Amino acid sequence: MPKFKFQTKLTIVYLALFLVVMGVIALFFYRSVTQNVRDQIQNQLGASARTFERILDDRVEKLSGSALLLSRDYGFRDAINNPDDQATVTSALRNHRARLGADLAYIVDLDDELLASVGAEGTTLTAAPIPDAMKMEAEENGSASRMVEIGGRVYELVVVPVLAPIPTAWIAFGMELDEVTALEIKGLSPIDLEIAFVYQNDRGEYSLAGATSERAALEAFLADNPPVDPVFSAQFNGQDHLFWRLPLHAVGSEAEISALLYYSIDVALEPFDPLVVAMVGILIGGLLLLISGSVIVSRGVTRPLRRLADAAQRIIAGEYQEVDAPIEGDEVADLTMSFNQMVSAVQERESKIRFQAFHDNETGFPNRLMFEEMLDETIGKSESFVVIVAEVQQVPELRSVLNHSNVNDLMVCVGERLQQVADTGIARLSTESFAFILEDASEAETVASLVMNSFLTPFDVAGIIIDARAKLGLVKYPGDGEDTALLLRHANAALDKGRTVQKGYAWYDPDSDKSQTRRLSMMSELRVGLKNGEVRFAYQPKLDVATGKIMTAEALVRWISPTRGFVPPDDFIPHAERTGDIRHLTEWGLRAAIMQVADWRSKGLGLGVAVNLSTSDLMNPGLPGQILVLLKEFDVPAGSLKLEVTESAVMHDMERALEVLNMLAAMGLTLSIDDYGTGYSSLSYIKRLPVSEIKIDKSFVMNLAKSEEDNILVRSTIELGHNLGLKVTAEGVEDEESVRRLKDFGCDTLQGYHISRPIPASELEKFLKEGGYETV
Amino acid sequence: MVRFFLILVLCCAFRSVASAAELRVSVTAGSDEAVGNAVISVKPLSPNLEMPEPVNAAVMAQQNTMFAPFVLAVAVGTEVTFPNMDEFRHQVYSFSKPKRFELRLYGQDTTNKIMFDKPGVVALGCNIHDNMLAFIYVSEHPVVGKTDESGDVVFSNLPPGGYEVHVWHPDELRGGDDMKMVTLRADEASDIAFSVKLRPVRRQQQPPADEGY
Repeated sequence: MPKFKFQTKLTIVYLALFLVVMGVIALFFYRSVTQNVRDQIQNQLGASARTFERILDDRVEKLSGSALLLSRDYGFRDAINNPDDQATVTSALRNHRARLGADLAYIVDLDDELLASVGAEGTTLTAAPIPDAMKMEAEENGSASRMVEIGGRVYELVVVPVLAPIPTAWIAFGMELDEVTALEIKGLSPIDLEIAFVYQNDRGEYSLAGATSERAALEAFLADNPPVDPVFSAQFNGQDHLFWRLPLHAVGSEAEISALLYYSIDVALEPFDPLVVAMVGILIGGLLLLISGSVIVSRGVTRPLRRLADAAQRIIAGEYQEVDAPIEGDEVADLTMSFNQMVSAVQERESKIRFQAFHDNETGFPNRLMFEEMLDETIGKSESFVVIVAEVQQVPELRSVLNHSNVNDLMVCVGERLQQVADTGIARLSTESFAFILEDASEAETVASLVMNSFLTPFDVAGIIIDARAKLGLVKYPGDGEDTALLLRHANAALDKGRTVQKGYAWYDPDSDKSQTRRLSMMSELRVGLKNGEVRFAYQPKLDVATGKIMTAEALVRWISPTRGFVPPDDFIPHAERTGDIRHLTEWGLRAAIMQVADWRSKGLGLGVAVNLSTSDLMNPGLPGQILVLLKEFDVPAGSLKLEVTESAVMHDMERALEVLNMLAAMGLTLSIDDYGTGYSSLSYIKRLPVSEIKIDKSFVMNLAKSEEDNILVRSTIELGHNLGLKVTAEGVEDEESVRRLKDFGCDTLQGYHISRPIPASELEKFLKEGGYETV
Repeated sequence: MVRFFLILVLCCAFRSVASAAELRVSVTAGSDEAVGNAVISVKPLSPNLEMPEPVNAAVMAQQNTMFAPFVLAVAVGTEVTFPNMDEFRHQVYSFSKPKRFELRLYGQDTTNKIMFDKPGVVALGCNIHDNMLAFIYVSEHPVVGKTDESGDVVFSNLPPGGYEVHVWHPDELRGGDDMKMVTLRADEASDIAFSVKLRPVRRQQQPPADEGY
């Protein structure tokens, strides 16, 4: 099915309706007019026929009256009954015929013998025999009249008896129905009808006796159209005619004689021709009006619709624009209004979404997305500028002491202070960092210093005075990056550097950034290395002072990369923690450690293994289950596995870490605090942890022989640990003197190069055997 | 005058009653319609038969603008008197071939007599009153009579012998009985029945148009 435009459809529908209506009207009009005209003609013909009959009756009356008068005349009767007086009879007859204007007159006796006959001038006539029925009727009624055809002419014949006093002869007067008669009747008719007299000859054919016109054509017509019906229409002379047949025969007549009155329907319809022309004109005019009207109407609909469609297209393109309503009050206007309302609603919602998309919902500052856009814009219009990223330090620690909303409020305060100092728009780049653009690159260092100084003033968050520190990273455009992404990455790199430098901020250094990329590729190599056995554990034994035996060994990861060679753990573990790859390392490590314990147990060695857990491990609630599965798999008792965690790992999110640690402790695992003394070193929180051991960081132990300060720290730490019911391990035991002192301090376990370097498992087994450190 | 005429006829009938035969004629039309005013004339086949003397006087009166009787049957040579009984005048005429005559306007005081000496039917009219119509049947035979309302007529006192019996009626059409032969025996009665055809509309005298004024 073809698709039409609305305009075309409307026009077609209107057109069809109009044509149907016009067609019905035209049909009705035509039918009623023709019917009306026919009826009128028929009425006129009927009226003329009655007039004709009346005229005939008059003539008959006149004729019969005259004939009667003659027949009653005594002298005439005397003459008729006197065989010797025929001359008188003839002259009397001639006299009467002339007086009446009759066309023929004759007298027959009872034996139908012609007594006398006279005709009109120039007529040769044969007297028609008078039928008995007519005689009878005449004798009874005084006269009888009948149409007769004599020699191709039609006569109105009137017969009266000559009574003496019974009939002795018959007088007949005849009046021909000729053109004159016809014209006379025609003249009496209001319409210009035509009249013809027809009779049936001996062969039953209809012949013409007289007509007002077109004799020849009528003769031919009668041959084809015998006039049988009283009223009929037929084609005559190329026109539709209505015929009225008036039978003229008298009772019992042998031959049928009729008068035909007819009139052309086409002629009668002629007055309606202008009407037809007018109708056609109305039709054409109506069609034109209708087409233009439907075009106007449909345009009234399609134009606003098109406008709406265009507006919708513009809205898709992001251009919000209201559409003018064409006319008030109609449906299209309603639609346009609704459309406009929709547009403004969508616009409003979009701006809301846009705001949410481009703003940090915690602080209301522009977010990273918006900052990137701003940066794009600035790159487009500024020749040079500086981007400064400011990172609030120790946020995890702050989170542990402040509640969530306080941290948010702090961030708001930080943002506001930055804005104040930098005197420019600030965006929150991440949970801990903000960023802003300095159009004037020369001011960058000054602003950085101002920012650093501003952080010397503590923040007041809901009555809590908070000392927050910030580190800054600075990048300059165009020197440090050509696009937004690069600038931001380099700003981060600069921040990394800024964290480490004294003044707290740093410019981007392209050289130091290279190692960063190298580290990224290292992580993927690590993943491969874990599968390929490049990563192994080295085990550093922990000497139990009380027994002099080695009860546990700390598993330390050793990665020997085929491309990089030996990679120190400090080079890849922090990155693995940051990228999340530490998960793979932990998985591998736990399995390897437990497998090693199982191996040793099979060899009769009751040696435990200590494994270091990372921050993300502590955040993983699935970890205890994971360990349980492994322990079961290798049938290793939980007590054989020790887990070491750093203070900072626990502090990152203490609540979550506690959950995991408590479960692990409940499983019977031994937990240690590693690198004790480098972090918060707050015994109050250690009290809350389900740990059984603290390991004093090697930085305190290594110089024990020389530093008195360290002696005091280590001794008091050991004492404190013991007071809390914890075992204390000293790491980094590197000389005999340290061993002696630690033993004096009551340290429970010693670990360090002086006892043994971290060595492969097989070497450890040998070392245990040779040193007599074996335990069962 | 009428009474006298009737007595005369009766005397004649009684005169030759001995050895006489009787002829009874009935006339019907259609399905047993008794036809009155039918004229029956009897013609002896033998000239030797001694026929009764014909009555040679008859009366056709004009009374109440009508002829009376409507049909009068007479033998040739009968003189008919036309007495006017009305208070106004009549002008009786006939254009019939057996007797053309005209009695010029006459009143009660005038006695008109017409001798009908030729056989035939004479139609009578009055020039003043178109409705008046009567027929006088002039028979060439000596014995003539007309049927009564029941369509019967009886001829008595006829000498036995063979006869032609003719029937005539003013409304008679061709195709009915016209004449019949009969042989009458002495002292016997013979019956003859005629069936005639009559025109559907009978000729008759209409009462005068102005009667009642």
